[in-house]
Amino acid sequence: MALSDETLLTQYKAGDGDAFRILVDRYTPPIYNLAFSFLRDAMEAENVTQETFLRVVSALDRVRLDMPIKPYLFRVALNLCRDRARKKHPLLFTDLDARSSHIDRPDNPVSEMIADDAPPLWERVDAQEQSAFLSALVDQLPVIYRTVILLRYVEEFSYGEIAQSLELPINTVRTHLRRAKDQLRLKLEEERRTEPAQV
Amino acid sequence: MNDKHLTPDELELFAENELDARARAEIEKHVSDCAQCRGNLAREQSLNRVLRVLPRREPPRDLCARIDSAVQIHQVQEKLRRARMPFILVATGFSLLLLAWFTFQMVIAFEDDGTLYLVSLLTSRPDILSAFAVDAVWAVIEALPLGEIVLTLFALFTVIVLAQQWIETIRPRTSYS
Repeated sequence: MALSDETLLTQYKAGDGDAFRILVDRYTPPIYNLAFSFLRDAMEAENVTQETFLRVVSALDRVRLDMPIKPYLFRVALNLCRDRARKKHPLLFTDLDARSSHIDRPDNPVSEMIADDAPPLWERVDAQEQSAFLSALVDQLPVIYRTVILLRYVEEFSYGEIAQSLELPINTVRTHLRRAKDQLRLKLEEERRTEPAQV
Repeated sequence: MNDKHLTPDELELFAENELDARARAEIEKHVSDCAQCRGNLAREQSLNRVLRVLPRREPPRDLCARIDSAVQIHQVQEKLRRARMPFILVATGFSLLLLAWFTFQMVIAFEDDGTLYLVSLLTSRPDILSAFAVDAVWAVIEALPLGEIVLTLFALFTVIVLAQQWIETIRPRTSYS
């Protein structure tokens, strides 16, 4: 049976270097994936992934081993991503509300706007196309929505774990997730409407 | 619940399996009776299914190995840092003692050389200072215990440098890129 993250970190603190290696192997792919999704730069994503683990090692004395390590790791990674994104693109976060406001009106629920009997577009293409198609749409979402989608569906975080990683209340996480999916549905609907014209 | 359709929040929570058993049972009952909500729920679940298989960007194959190496280097640096700490602490303490000693010597020299007396005389008698300004300034300069002042400043500089070293040593590194 695989050892828990907390057990591995405890073993590492006790001097077992291999224990941390297992943690690195376990979390390098998801952290890299998250960093790449956030920064869209392979080199930066590598740097963030490496620095995340080094930050954890540096702060080992202060890390609480009675709390789950996974949200802590992702919180460190996300903070590093934010720092780097701010340095590269100072305006990255400023227009988030403005961009999402047109679909967030409570009197205009998206489910009603797009409700029809036609099967969703992704049900009419094969699995690989579905995945690539939706991935491109997710990439167009604002970064906070992209992040919650990725943590929830790709990394299979619970709402609580996402909330801890993003340092947000659970209800805010739920709202972000719903809005992200609303935006995705809108984009899918736009694609569906333009589809006949392309054929 | 049968009179009105499910809200997007209810659909979301049901599809995400985030409801308690009672709320879940109510929604299941409503969905079995309501074709529109059944359709909405199917779309919600279908979107969730596709999102769960979004492609993952794989890291370079050697990234884990590079991180392991960086962690090991960090461990070595950490050991060196911890080993250096007592020496820097002792040196800082010794420099502080030197600083205190030289400061004490400088104060005595100020007293012995009459510098303090001269300064107090010039400040209490501004007429002397205004009449013999240049001579008064030169007299004060000549009365200064320059040797003691230089030694005190040197000790102060050493304390500052060692204190900086000590802070660098106790503060963990935060950037490795």
